[in-house]
Amino acid sequence: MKNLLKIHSFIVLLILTACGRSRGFITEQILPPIYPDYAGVTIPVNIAPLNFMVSDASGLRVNLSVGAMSINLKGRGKIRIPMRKWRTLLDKAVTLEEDITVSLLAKMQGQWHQYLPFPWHVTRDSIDPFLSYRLIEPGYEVWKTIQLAERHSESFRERIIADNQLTGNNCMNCHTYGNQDPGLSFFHLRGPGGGTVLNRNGVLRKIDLFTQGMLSGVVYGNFHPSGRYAVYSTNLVLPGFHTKKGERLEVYDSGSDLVVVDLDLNQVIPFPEDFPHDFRTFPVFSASGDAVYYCNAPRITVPDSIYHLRYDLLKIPFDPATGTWGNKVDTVVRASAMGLSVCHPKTSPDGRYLLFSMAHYGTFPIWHQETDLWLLDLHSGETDKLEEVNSPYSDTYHSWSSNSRWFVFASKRDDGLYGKPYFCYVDLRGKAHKPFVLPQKDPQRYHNTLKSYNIPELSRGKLPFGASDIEHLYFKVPAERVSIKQSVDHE
Amino acid sequence: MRKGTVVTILMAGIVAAACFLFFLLHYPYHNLLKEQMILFLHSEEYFLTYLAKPAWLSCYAGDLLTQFYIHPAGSALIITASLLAEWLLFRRVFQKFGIRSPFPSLLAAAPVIIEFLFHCGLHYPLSSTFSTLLALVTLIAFMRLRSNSLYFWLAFPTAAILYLLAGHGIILFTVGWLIGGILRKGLHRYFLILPAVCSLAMPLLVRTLFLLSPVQAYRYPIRKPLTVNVDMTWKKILELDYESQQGNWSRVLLLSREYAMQNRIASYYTNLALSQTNLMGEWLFHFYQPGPAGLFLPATPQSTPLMITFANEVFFYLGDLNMAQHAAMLGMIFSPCHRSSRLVKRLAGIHIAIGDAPAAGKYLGLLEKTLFYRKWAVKSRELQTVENIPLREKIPSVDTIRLADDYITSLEILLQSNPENKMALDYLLCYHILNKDIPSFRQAYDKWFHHAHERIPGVYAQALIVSLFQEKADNEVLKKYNMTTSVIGDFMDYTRTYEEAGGLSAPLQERYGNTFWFYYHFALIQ
Repeated sequence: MKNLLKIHSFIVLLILTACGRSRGFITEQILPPIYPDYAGVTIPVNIAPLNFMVSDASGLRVNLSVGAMSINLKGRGKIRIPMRKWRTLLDKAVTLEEDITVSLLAKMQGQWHQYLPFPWHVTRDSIDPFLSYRLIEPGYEVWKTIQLAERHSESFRERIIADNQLTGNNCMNCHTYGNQDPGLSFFHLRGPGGGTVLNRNGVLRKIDLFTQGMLSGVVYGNFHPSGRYAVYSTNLVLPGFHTKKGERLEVYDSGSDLVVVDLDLNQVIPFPEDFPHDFRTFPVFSASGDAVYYCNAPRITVPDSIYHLRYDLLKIPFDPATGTWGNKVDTVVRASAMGLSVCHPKTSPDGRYLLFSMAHYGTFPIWHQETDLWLLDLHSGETDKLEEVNSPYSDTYHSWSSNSRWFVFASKRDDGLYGKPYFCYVDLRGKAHKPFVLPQKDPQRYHNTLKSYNIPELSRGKLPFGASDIEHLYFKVPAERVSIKQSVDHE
Repeated sequence: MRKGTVVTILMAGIVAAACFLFFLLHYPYHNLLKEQMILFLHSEEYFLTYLAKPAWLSCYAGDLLTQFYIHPAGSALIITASLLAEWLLFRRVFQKFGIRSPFPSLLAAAPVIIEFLFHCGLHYPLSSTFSTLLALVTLIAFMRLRSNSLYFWLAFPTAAILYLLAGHGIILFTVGWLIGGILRKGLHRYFLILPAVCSLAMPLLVRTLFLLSPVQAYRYPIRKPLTVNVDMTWKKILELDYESQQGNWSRVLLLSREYAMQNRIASYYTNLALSQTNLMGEWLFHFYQPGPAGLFLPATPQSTPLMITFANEVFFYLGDLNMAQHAAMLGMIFSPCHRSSRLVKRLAGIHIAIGDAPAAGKYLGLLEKTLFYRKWAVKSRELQTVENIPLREKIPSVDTIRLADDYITSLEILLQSNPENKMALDYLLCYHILNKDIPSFRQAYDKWFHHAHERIPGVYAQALIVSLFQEKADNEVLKKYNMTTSVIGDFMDYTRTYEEAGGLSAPLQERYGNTFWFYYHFALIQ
């Protein structure tokens, strides 16, 4: 295969140099220094063109080929692939079950350089076509502009679905889908007109998910597959700042617990009181909806003992018919025994995998450089440390595609500061492939932006609301109240 | 040329020259700050971001030229030229309205004076002036139309385009068009209402496309509240800020002395200058002190945006680079365009000092796309490989978690990591002194001040003797602490005079006004 690539690239470069005037080039035995790093990635058949750039190049000549099809492109440091040609190329690659070969000549300081060609593996397993994320500067405590955006990952269209400039400059939390369904989602709007915005098929409700008896308003959450329930953590969140270089922000809970909310009856179902008063956070329903996975740590003094605060991954049954928690808790991943702390578990829609983050300690992995993604195969019980996927910087805030073949996550691998959405393919054998960043029309966008792409989530369709609907909801619609479900009978 | 025209041109020339000199010599600091609060990138991708909001042409042109505010002469020239152009255009409009000479020239001066005062504010953008200029040019072009039907039918499409290009200029254009229409012969006044209403409603109708609130939609590209005055307090504060950035610490102290401001930010820069000139322990009370609040500026939800912008300075010099980074990041969030050349430069400097090349590269990459910071960025890239960066020695090697306003922990950790961090020691001792917390001062002094062979700085000696007298220390102890007879004598004298004054400050002011003892008894902590 490698020899074939070399022969192929030689022919292509002959054509490239013959077509242009770039005779006499230096042959480099390395991959081209392209940004973003798309070399050797696996991509879905429905992704937007992987436009890229070479920072110091004053000229680029690129050939994309699969089978008999070949596209020659030119650019001054950037390559933008025409949409129609791109689609044809992807379809061809899938039909022929062949990789796309990318050959590149770059003009640096007046001299052309020929780099090793690299493949793009195209899979017919498509990715959910929409992605939502929060655009926010990487600060904490104080904010100014926050936007929730929806991006069409098959093209470059981005739409703002909520903007805090329209809602009294108040904070808003990330957007969460249920079952990757655009007709089922929520996010929290803070401020006097705030509440949890619930979208059910475009009908928007605003619910104040805080009532007496709860530790705080709800924070991290996840929908039950039926859409009737949502499970949330309630957290007393405190921010702190490290003094040592390299470590930055630490956000921790001085208390945290779980609740299930019945969204039909506006009732809060508290976590059973029979269990120790531990820290409990990041709850998610299992794919079948009969259990809740969550992160649990024994209560210790924070921030003094924060370096010893390690969460394990636990599981508790939940009966959706009666809306009751179970009375037995199982440990799924004893991270503390490995000297690690588990965060953000996410079950794949087919129920096979559990994807989660591991950090050295604490409960705010996005600012922990060592944070990595781990994949647990719930069928075999095997854990994969996803070495092909992780980077030296934080990799977390992940979510699955509806076909369970893809997941998206926020990675700070470029600079350690600004998170960007990366897509990763998990094949039928459960092997995760090299991830790639969400393509942009102009690849310079990531260099120019000072925003993080926070908590990316995939969806099967376009959301049925926009920023003006949220503005209306904030100012004009009173929040619905909830009550605590009395005399809870646990199993 | 008529005599009246000559007089008008002469007057305009004199006023323009005065305006130029005012911004060049007397009032340059507001404009220097405005330049620092934008980050204009020479990149196609950046240009396209302007299209997401109305007034893209005036915003792009305004920001492009605001870069030149980096030199006081640049800002003075650009503002003067803009105001002169505005006066000429307003004058032309009034002439077109049929007002007879010399009134067009006089009337045109009124909006220009207001515009001038806007430019004296902290946040007024050049793009807003350009919006007005675009509106006036369009209006004059319209008034030259001979056809009444064109005047009528082109009004709304032109207003719509003008909104995209010049934002709030649509209001001026519509009002001018309406007046022009009323004065025009052969046009029914009632016909004018519909295009005028449609034009004025346009920002409201399209605001959701641009994600603007109703107020923002009408005032864009003005983003911040406006002030209409020449603010000398801010002028002085910004002068201190500017001189601090240049590292002209003696000049900061001279200015502080001259201005004698009772202002927290002024004290913040004065104290920074005192620490950089090793005079903190001697001259602390030669300047106004609002309490420990004059040592740090908080970057919390309660802080003003400019406080947050300035908050990183002290942390940076102290070597508390995590807090400096936090404050700089927040400062940028609160800058009008959420990107600031000054703070990006500071963030690059922080990450170079930390040795975090990828993060430094992010910010240097941005600066390399600017006109005036490119050279600095290219030069700074070379610094990334340098091992001996002085600031690096100050960075804490010990880790703990503190709240954003827990300054004592920050200073203790800095000293724990590097006991030679003189600035951290000065700040810690002065924090307790300004807080009138004698036991904490004594504890910190005993723990960190290891210069027994040196003369104790005056202010520390004054605080120390209070502590020693409170514990009834004997001569042996006084000697151990290197306490001089003159300090002891002054203290005895002060105590006697204080008791004789019966709680009044006046008798003590002249001789002891610059001492800790006077501060201890009479100062109110903010």
